[in-house]
Amino acid sequence: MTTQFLTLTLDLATAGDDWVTTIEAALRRHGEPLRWAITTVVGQQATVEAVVTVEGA
Amino acid sequence: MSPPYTAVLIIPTGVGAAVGGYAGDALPVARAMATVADQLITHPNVLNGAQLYWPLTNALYVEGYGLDRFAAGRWGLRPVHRNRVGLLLDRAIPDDLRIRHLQAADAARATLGLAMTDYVTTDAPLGVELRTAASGATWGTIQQPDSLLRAAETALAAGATALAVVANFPDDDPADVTLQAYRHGKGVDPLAGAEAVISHLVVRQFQVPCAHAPALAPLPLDSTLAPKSAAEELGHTFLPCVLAGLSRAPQFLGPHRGDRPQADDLWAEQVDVAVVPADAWGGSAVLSLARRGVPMIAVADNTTTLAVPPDALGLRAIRATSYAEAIGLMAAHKAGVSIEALGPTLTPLQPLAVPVLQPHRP
Repeated sequence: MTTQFLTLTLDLATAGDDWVTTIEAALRRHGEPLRWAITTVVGQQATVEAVVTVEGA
Repeated sequence: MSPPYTAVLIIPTGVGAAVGGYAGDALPVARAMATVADQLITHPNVLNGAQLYWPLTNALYVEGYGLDRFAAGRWGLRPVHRNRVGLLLDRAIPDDLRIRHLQAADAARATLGLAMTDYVTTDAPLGVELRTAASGATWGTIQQPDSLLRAAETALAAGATALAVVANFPDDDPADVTLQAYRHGKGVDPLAGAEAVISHLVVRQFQVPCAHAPALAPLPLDSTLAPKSAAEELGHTFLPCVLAGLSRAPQFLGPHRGDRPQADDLWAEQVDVAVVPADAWGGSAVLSLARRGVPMIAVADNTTTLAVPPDALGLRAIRATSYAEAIGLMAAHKAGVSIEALGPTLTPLQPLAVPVLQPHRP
């Protein structure tokens, strides 16, 4: 297992109302979410900073 | 009789919070808030002051990953009389610092009467790496998470019910600009993000209380140290507050445990209010509580490096200038007193329009 830092952008207009589930689903494309937060919002674009774990990496 | 008034106090770590971004400097807020709330749920960043701490009998010391799961309604909290704390030491800690930490643990046993298992040293250096993101928040990664988890498993097998982790952090350069700012009560704690990652790993894997204290070589004396940063320069370890907090941290309830419900168990639906810095609403616990409709107080003067106010996310907030005002709002809320009634003016009630029924035509 490794821990990896990443950022991603989320369009709030299309993210539904359960942002926790939406963000964690987006992070799961990169690994298992460990810690994350939306750190900036500009208009409808939210930046998420996160650390995920990746098995076998 | 009213149900217990339950408050959640969240101050994210590693984001340069003006209150709570330094060395246990949000503990006064927690102490004051705990006199209004019947139960205060908060996290190590708020309650830890290195060698300083304050036992609050109605405060629940909940690590951030567990707090996120609690807020999402996936895990509950079960208060305990005591935990047996297991101590995990990073193999990379130099011998003298390792001995200092073992002495701190023995002191907590002898002086505070805390219950602990024997300690575990990780089978590899954990390899803590620090990072500052574009937002200004600090994060971190560790190179050997599996080694940490193996050590945790060993301590749990030895009877630990909560885990204190001491990881070796890269030596500070006293001339480093970030460190200088932190010691003078400005900027962002460079270690905090990595500390959170370490405890999150353990809690996610084992669903037990966990908190972290860094192992750091002492810094040269600085006669201009800021009061908010001073608690971390009193001695050789930051471990005492962690051991004290974990000794009574609630256990986590969830699908991983088959326990029968107990009267003191706490779940997210019992939360009456949450208090959050006004520009740091993008965390998992905050988003979950807001979505549940929990009344949320945004504290304006606790600024951070983040730029995520509630209105940017379309979330409703009760605005307070300071924690003093937030605590006043909580007192009114707990008493069932309308906030409007505390002000100098109150507008008269107005008639609500009743929809006119249209005659039914078959």
